[in-house]
Amino acid sequence: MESETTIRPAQGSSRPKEVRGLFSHQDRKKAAVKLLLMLGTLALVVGALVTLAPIAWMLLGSFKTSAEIYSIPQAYLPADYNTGNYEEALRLVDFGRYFLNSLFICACVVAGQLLISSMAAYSLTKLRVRFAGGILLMFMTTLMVPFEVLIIPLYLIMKFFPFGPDIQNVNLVNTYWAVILPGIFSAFSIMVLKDFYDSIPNEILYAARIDGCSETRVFFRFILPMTKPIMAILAIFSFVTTWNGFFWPLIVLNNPDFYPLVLGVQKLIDTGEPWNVVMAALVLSTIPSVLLLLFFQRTIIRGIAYTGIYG
Amino acid sequence: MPDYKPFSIYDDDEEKKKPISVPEEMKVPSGELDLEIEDVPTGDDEKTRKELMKQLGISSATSTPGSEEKKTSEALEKTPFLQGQSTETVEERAKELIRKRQETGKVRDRRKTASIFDKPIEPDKPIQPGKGAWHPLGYRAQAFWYLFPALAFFGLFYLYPMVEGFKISLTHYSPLGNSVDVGWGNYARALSDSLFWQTVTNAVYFTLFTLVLGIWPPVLLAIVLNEISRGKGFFKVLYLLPFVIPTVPAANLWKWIFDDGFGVLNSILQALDLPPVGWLTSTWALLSIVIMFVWKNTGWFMLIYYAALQNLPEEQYEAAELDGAGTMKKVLNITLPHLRPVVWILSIIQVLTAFQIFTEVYVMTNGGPMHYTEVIGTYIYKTAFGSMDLGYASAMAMLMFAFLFVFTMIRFFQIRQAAR
Repeated sequence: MESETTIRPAQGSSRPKEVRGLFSHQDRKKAAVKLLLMLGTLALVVGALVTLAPIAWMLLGSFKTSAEIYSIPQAYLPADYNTGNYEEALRLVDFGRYFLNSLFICACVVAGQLLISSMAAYSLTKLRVRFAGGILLMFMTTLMVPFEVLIIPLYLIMKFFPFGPDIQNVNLVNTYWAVILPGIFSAFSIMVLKDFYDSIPNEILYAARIDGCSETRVFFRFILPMTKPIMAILAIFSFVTTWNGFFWPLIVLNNPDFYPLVLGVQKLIDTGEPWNVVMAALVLSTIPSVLLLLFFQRTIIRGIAYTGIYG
Repeated sequence: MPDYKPFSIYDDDEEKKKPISVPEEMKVPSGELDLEIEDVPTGDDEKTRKELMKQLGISSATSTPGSEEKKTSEALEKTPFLQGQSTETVEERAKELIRKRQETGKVRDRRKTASIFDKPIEPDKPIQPGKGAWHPLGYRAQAFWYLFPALAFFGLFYLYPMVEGFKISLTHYSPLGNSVDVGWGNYARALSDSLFWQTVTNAVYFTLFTLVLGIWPPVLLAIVLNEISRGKGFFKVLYLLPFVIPTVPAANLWKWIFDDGFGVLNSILQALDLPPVGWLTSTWALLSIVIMFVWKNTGWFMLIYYAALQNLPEEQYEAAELDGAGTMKKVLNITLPHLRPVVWILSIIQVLTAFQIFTEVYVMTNGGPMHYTEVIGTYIYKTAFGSMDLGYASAMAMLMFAFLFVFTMIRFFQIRQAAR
């Protein structure tokens, strides 16, 4: 198994040893240790059940009829698994549209963020821009600012883009740009990428330059391909963050045509639909994220292990 | 990070610290200087020769390359000091010159410069681009243009809003341009607003609850997960599920589970003949939100602890076993101390996230009942976009920033250390 904490440019693969853990291989054959391990596994299973129960409950709820869901005591299992609730939810809101909105916003944010962060990290590490340390510190301070501090001025900036109400301006509220633009800069991405770039040997750049590559070419043909593993992690992380984002779209989007998925679902729920229809809508809005987790589980788990300390 | 050392034309760094070696022919003998005409560098090193001539006081007005050499030697012969008139001065001058050269490092070992680079490559320092890299504004400018987009977005969407937010917090804001400057009035108002203080206490309680409930389960789960031999990947994905699904569906789901009449928790309580609990409609509400919050984040924390456990050297366990330590002692004295820094980092992250919580509260209670669950985020949202009191909301946001400053500073240094 490849270690989850080592994500470095490919420099020959050295497989780390399997971690031994608390017990040695001899100890593992002892009855007491076996019992302990079984108890531990049991704890894990119980934890997993507690984790999964609400999600299973949501699935069950989405198949129940109104009569079942509003009976006291609660009907634990639906009598019949029909998809009426889903049809109702799909009739009430345009899920396809919301899904595409979310997808478009996320794609723009991810592409922009990766490009800009890579360029910045390249400049800060390999091109030796002036005041690199100071600039990095400045970027890092943005990780410290609570989002609540920014929303009001950001809202005004979006409403009177780019410099507030005093100057000739454009109204970006109720457009995709209002959600995309503030999401593009990410100090987190820059820091992770910078860390990664530091581990790329300068010889590779030397070789490329001696062969007559321009800086741009070095960057696009050598650096970017080398950073694929970390880019995949950052892409998924920023995708998930943007996809799950609720606070900011809630403020800048009032037009249902532009709602991302989670906001659209919340607006549907706010109209006071019965719980069974709500649950169907929730399941629909959860499916993309679950699929993402299933398809990219390795990348996500590695990413959490690698970037965990940055939060 | 790999212990990597770039190619250097010098054998190692130590050689550079030594004084620059002077070639044998340039060394001054301890006795008197045996200066001959041949010692003066000629034609092959134009610059050195001119410099030498200048220092020796010879005018080199002649410039035609062909006749230069001849004229130079003629001039040298004519100079008075070579005719034995002032030998001492010549010697002193030459010594002085050689000393200066040694100091300024102009004396080079020609064998070592037989490289594609004229000067040594410094390890750990980024390199200059090759000479072939053409661009209109020069190398520094190019480095800047690579950084520029990030700087622009940072300025427009972080720096400018910060400054602007502070300015707004000092006014009674009206977007049409009739803002009234009220100085620190908004801050004074917030500090005497009982509701604001309630949001602060709620946030503190929320943070404490999340720390108590949320920090330890993932540690234990991670230790167990590290021990089991099969199904690791399966459990990892299962536990991560709540973390990946968006907050809005998760919070709505829990809102239903916590529902007074039709929620499953009260159903179970009823089946057990226990009195129902107003999960979201009484003082329990804050704890209910904490439960949801912990449910959502446990898997994430567990994976971080698990990753940290992978770095624990197994020799420590082996040594402990040789000393006769049991399982409990190994966990308490090796595993937990190893995880301590990670626990500390995640605690700080918890504090910061808990203070900034918005979506969960907005969806589940919207601050109700009786502001029991009102947090700073929802209060700011209501003030700013409900009653359009942007100035006051900004002031509260700034105060929140100030309250969190200690924690953000700790976090800041943690990140700096991590990024080092």
